[in-house]
Amino acid sequence: MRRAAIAALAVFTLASYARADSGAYLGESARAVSLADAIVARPGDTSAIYFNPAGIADLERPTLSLYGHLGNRQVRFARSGELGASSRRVISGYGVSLVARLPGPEWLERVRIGGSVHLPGTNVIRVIAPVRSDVPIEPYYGGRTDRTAVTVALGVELPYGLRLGASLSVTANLVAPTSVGFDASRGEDVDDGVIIAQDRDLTLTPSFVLGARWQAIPELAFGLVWRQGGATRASGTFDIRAGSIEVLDEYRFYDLLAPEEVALGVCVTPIPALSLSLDLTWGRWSDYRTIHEELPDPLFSDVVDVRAGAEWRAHESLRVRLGYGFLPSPVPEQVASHNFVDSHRHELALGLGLDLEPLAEVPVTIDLALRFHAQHRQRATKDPARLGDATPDTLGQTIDNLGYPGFRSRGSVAQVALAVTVRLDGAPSAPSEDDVSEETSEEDAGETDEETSDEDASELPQVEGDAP
Amino acid sequence: MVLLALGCAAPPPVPATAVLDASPEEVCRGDAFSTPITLSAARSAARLSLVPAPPDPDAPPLSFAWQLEGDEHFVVAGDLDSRELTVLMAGERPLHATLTVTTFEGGVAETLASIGVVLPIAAPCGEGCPSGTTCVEHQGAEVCLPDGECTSDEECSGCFVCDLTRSRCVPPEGA
Repeated sequence: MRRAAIAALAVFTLASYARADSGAYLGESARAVSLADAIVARPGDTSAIYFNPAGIADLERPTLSLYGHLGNRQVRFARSGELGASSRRVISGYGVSLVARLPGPEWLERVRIGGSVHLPGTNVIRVIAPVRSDVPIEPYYGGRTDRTAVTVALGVELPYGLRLGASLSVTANLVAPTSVGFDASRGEDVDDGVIIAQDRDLTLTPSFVLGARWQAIPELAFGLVWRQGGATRASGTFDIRAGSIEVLDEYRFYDLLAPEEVALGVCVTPIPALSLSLDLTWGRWSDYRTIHEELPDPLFSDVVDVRAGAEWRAHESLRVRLGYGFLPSPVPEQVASHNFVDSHRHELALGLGLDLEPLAEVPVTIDLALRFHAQHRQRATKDPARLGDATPDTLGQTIDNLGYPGFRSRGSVAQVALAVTVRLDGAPSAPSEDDVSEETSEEDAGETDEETSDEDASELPQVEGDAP
Repeated sequence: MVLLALGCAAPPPVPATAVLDASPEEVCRGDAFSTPITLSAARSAARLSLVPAPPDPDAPPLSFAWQLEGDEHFVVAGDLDSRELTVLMAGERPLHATLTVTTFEGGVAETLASIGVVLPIAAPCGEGCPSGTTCVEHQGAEVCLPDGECTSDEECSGCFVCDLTRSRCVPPEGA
């Protein structure tokens, strides 16, 4: 009841704002989408700012990317023996990323800096706090898709094909202390005397990403990245005073955006026109907290995502991409009072990248991607002994849980993503003599010049197209 | 649901206050449509209110929409857009009632209440019994049973029945 009262007050004070869904979890650039995010070891583009900031050191030219995505999330929830219902929501967002080489002496030119802003389709912050803890909630697709983030990144190009990078994202939180008072002289109706005063502050929480990418040989690269993860918080105090009644309370809502992750990737290029990548991403979902920052019952499990991507250079200006991922659900069977809706999912993606530079000497690349998430059926059977008693002050056990006696669910996501990437220097850059000599020195002495040119082609960032 | 959001769109109409009163708030498991349950939206209001109060007779009428799901049920009085209705439920699982109140200006508020089912289970004595109960052996186990004597089932709460041989409220056979 206490939470219900607090939540009700939150409705009074904040419900006048716009409501919509939008995404950051599903808000990558189109190239990353089409490769099922298996890009940790691949030569980077601007999306590397999020995935592996070491990848931005691969960008030779100042690059600006504008991207957007639009998707439909559909989920069906039904208690055992009932028909249930489907719900849909739109996931959308857009962003801009910029990566450039630092000017100055040669050693400084090995450093790239990047910045990126991602905005959900509508809301800057969106936290859904159910009045009841047993309302079905999607921990995987819920608040995670509504991330407003500003990120800065640094990438360094080191000898022997090694790149290191780091990025820092800041995410907004809402702090809204509220005081409610009562002045009987303000009107005849009891409600006329209610005074609500609320302050609102946006605070910022940082989260870090550290990454490395190693191009061991032209045909083989490795990537390793650590992502700190983070959450959006909405918090505040309630100071309610009315005559002799005085209530001091607080609320703290916590909405996970991303768990801590460690990703290991490998990329092989068996022939110059084809590259294959595989990523394994461990996610610390066992740290998951509910919206009230409590441990779920039962606890979530850590998971390892498996992602694979293939990119085929069909033409000097056209790339065809495919991606697949198996993303296990961290949510165990919901036998207790919570009703978290989630299950294992398969991710299928495909996309095209069209580089206009070889065709029309316009330094622009357009990437388009389609992605689909298909989830397994989730089943849960409640254990009455773990449901608790809705009326503990009376005899017997009262069960009013929204998932009792059990439930099943199934969901999907369909999404389209578009990115336009512009090389701001306006003209392709030829590798410097120093670069060529360094790359050559990294290879086996027996390699031919022809192999060296293949390496250059495979190592060039995909968004930039091949050197003519 | 409570939605905390910051955005750029125009503010929606002022929401109403939806108040759902259910009586009783739970039935015994296996009630078998024997207990009339009254669901009332009478204390709902056209504007936000910290104190549920009788509706303003001069205010434009509110519209109500009820959605019932969960346990098998029948509406025996009123209908799904009336201020008050009476339902009977099977008592095999909870009945979830969602009330949506809409004002003349389009302000909307929604609330959810569940009519629970009571499993007549006596708590084991394990960590002691709460006040008003005593640790008693019942059907081969030590459980917390209510103090006091009874002479009929009506005197027992929690869907217990009166064991006339012991004059004590106990869980029914097979519970």
